[in-house]
Parts: sequence; C-alpha cells; structure tokens
Amino acid sequence: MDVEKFFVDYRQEVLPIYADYVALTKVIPQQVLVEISNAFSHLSQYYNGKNSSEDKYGNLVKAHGHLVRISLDLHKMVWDEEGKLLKNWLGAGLFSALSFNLDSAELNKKYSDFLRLGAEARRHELENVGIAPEESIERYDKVCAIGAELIENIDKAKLHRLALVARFLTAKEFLSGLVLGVLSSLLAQWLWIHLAK
Amino acid sequence: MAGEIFKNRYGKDASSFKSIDEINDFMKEKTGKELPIALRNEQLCINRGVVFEIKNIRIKK
Repeated sequence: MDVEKFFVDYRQEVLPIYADYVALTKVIPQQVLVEISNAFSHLSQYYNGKNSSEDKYGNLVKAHGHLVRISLDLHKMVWDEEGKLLKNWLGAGLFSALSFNLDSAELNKKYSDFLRLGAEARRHELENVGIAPEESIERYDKVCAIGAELIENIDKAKLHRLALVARFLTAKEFLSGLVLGVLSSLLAQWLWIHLAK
Repeated sequence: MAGEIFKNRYGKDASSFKSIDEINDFMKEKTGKELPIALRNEQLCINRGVVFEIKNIRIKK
C-alpha cells in the first residue's frame, strides 16, 4: 500500500460510482461525506511529521479502508436505487414493460439476473465481513452495470405514445357505449310506440 | 461498469473529475441548483460491518 494507490483508487473506484449515485438521485449521500472526512483525517496523519513511520503507514492503511467502505456503500446504494426505480417502472402500469428498448425475453432475463446477482452479492458481503470487501464490490459492480443497462433502455417517449394510444382506446370505448345506449333507447321507444298500438 | 449512468446522461467520464466536489459542482451546473445532502439507503449502510482487517487481540496479555 502506498499513497499513490490511495489516490488512484479514489479517482478510479470512488468517483465513478459516486457520479452514478448523484446522477440517479440528485442527492449528496451523508454517509459518503462522513467516510470521506474519516479517510482524509487518517491521510492527514500520514503526512504528520511528528508520527513514526509505522504510525504513518497504519494511518494510510486505515484511510484506504475508509475508501473501500465508501466504494462498497456507494455500490450498495446505487444497486438499491436502481432496484427501486426498476420496480416502480415495471409495476407502474400495463404498458410500462413495453417502454423498454429491449425485447421482452431479454428484459425478463436481465431483470431476473439483476435480482439474483444482487441477492448473491449481498449474501457474499454479509458472509465475508472484514475478509474480502473488494470481492463484494466487484459483485455489486456487475449488478449495478445490469441495472444501469436496464435503466438506460427505458424509453419515456415510447411510454408517452403508448399512454396516448391507451387514452384514445378508452375514449373510443366510451363513445361507442354512449352511441349504442342512445340507439337502443330510441329503438326501445319506437318499439313501445308501435307495438303498444 | 461504474460511471456508465453518469456518462450516458451527461456525456462525461466520471474518472476525469479530480474530486467529489467537482462532481457536485458539475451537477449543480447541470441541474441549476445545489444538491441537497441527505441520509439515504440507511438500512443498507448502518449494518455495514467492518471493512478493515480483523485482528485477534488477547486482552489478558
């Protein structure tokens, strides 16, 4: 572990997933700010000239540990947000599943992969606490990539067009019912007048 | 791969930023308002466990 690795991981492991999170939610997550503060507090001790080289190294390792935690938390949070978004979208209405730019078999496969791999990643994380957080991050990363692909294939314009068609069909049904009702009442009236005589 | 959602939406590679502050500034510029700070997904992050190496320490020694 060296200080270069700390900053490389910060740029390559934390920033991309952080960017995904804020792009999805438009919110700065409080947990991340706390962890960033913890990481940089330890890093400041790495540069403290009063500390022994052993203490400096210990602080660098701890700073990196906080960085790993930020990455793990962000991956989980992105997975969670993607899951909520997809669940809402797929359960929103009759036509919502049709608004994806994917065929139905592919959509079902990818969504079930998203759910299955997400559950596996979570189980792996809980079974390996403190042992292999990087492996959990890799697993979550794969899940987040599937979620991202599904979300980016949502076609809102298509859903809008489908909603217009649905509204047109409903209006057509209502008008046909109305016309039939008026005609049948006129017919009944005519029959009553002519047959009653 | 992390960063895909951001890249698809804003056309910029997230690893080209220097810090999360730069990302926040970029988002402020794009959305026209300061991003709020909030505690989200807390069920996932409170019970997150330990990511540091676990050490065996003999307390009596």
